[in-house]
Amino acid sequence: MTEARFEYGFIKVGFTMSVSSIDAPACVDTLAVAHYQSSRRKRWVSMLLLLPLLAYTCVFFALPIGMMFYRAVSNPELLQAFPTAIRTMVDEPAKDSTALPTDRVFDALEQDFINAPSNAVIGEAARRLNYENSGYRFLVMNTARTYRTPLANPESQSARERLAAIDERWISPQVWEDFRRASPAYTPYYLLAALDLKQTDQGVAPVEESQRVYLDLTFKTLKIALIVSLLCLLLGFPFAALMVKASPALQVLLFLAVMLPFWTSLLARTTAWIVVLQDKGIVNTLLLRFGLIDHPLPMIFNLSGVYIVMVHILLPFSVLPLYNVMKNIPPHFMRASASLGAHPIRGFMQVYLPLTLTGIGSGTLLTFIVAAGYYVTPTLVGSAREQMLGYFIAFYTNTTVNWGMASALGLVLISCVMVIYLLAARLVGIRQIAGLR
Amino acid sequence: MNSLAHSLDSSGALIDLNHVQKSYDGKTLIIKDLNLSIAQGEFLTLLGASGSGKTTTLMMLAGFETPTRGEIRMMGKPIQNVPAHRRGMGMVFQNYALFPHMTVAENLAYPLKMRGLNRIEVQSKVKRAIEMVQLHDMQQRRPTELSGGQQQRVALARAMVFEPQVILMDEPLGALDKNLREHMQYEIKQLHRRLGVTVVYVTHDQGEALTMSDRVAVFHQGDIAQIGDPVSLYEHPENAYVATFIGENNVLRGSLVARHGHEVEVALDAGFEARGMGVTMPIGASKKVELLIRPENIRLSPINQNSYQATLADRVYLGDHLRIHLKLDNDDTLIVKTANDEAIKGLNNGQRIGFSWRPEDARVFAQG
Repeated sequence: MTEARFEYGFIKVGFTMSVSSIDAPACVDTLAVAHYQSSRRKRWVSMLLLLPLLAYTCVFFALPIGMMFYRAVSNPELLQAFPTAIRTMVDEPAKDSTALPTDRVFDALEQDFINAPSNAVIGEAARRLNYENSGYRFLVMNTARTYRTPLANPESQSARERLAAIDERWISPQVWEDFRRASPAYTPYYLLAALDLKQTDQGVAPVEESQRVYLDLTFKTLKIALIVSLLCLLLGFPFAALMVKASPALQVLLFLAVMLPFWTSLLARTTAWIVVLQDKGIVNTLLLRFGLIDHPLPMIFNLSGVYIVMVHILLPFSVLPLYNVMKNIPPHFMRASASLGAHPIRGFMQVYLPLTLTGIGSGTLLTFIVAAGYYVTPTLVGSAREQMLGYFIAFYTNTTVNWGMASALGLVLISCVMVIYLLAARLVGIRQIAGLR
Repeated sequence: MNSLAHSLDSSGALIDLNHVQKSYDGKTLIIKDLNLSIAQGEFLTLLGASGSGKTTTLMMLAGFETPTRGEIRMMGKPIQNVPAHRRGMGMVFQNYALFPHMTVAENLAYPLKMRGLNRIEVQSKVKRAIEMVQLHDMQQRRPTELSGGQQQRVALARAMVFEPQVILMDEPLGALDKNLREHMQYEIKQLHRRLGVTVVYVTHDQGEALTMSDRVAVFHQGDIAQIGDPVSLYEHPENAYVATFIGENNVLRGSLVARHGHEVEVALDAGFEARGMGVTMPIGASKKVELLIRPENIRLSPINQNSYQATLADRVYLGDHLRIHLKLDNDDTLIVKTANDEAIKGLNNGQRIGFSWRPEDARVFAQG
């Protein structure tokens, strides 16, 4: 019996349980088994129903995110271009970091240049090495080009001399230090760079002041997202309250008004805002006409333009959770508060507001998360100074094809959002944020 | 209750509603012309079907609705323009309206804090209120963790904790099951007796109204159909609506034949003449009347010269009593409530049977 149980155990869990339960004297166990067996079919069906979504999520969500994590630390370029040189360098380490590598390393490097699988591989390696110090691209590409033609002075004694003849820098310890740092299969380089840090001989250190951009960028992104979500809350709260109290006809109208940005094409919507807000746009013309201002107010292609347009687009993310919560607050709570002697304002502060907290929490959080990842709108209605993290992620992905940097910045964005989500979950409760209570 | 002396002004009433009208749309009147005096310390129930105006009246007393016309006075001062939070009336809501984000103790402390009481006073009053409704162990619970009956008690305690002169109750027992409802009726009545507070209680449940109230106002289509103590409402209804709304009544149509003082003789459409007490008489040439007789006031008997006749149509067994359906000769049905005894068990459906009533138990109204 034990054997049979074992054999089937790998195939079918249900069967294992039923066989093992024969030995069990307690009738509670038989009941549990009977329940398990009777609901087995239902369980299979529900699993089957879940399967397509699960597969979809794995392939198109979990996998890309995992790949992004991998891309942020993966560093294959030098290994692909100079495999033997790097292997030799690991086998025969230099005496100290300032010393040049052994002759065998130079021989291997020369062979790698000669046997390079393709120009593209060398190009990738040149680009990667160039991140360490600009100028290395020329060094690598020039050396590769030289090796493709018959050697200028083949009578030279060693690979080291031949390389030095092509470019003196090949015998500079600095180059080899950078080469060594850029060669491992995995590197913290991109992640550190995304935090304005770099690896040095002494360990991790901040980059030069003139090159610090990403931390500021991250703070700016979070600041814009925060201000946008607070503005959305400020505008959305009374709006949602009005929606709850409005007559059905007005309710439909208000609902349409708040959903309108969702139903308009992004470009049409943004263009409309440009028309309205530009120097000779409707708003400025009216203000000038009535003599309220002397010069047109700059309202677009700057920070205020970003705020105005983003608040407009993201308002539904704040209003709908608020509406959902307010709709479920029975009106008799405020009546009860009044009957107990509370002025309407005190009643609002002590009864109504606390009951809407979950809506405030989930709505603001949702707005914040969406706003933090915004990229197209700031690109269209902001100036160069208002670009957010999303813009740079797109820039590294599309323009410079620097997947490592794009992934690292993506990770920074995800981490910021996760930290804020966890803080909110801690403060308001995760079920409330998910809208389950 | 230091205000007791205060309120005993010339009229003796705590609250007066004078010619109060209410319309929500400017076209139809929900309250037509309401005149009502509520005495200090009484338990007044506003009874009526839904849409009769009883809840609107309560909302106007509480200050959640303003009268379209007329005035509401409390201790002689008009209050119809005083906002709800300054009327100082306690209120118990249909769904209790306990604040879900506060504990029981915090709910009870809420009205006290609003009145600016200091922490020690608040604590001692909350403690007393909790003892009053016997919820000692529940102080730190949230309302959602309490049973319906416990929530009801907290709502009562919260409405009373700041010692209001008047407590308004809007169908407070509607959400409870039957046994609990009867128990809570008793508890509310006990509290009312103990505290001497004035209670205005809205319900559509006539049983509740009769068992708890000092006076009952029966609302019908925006008017008070009758106001009085439970006994007079049940035994001496002033119109056919009250007679049929409160308790059960058989309605027999007929025409007036003769009057002998209070007693009248009516030729019923069912084909026999019967006597009853005339309450309202037909006006002018019309002699159309309705004779109302309660099922428990009809006595069954063998057929003799003092009895009327009908066919036994059906019997419904209800344990302690039987409901007999009699078919009259014009096919109207007469319900009779009778004790469950051997004589009745011997009868068969379709059999002819005699019945009668005392003229003072039947009431005759002009057909409206």
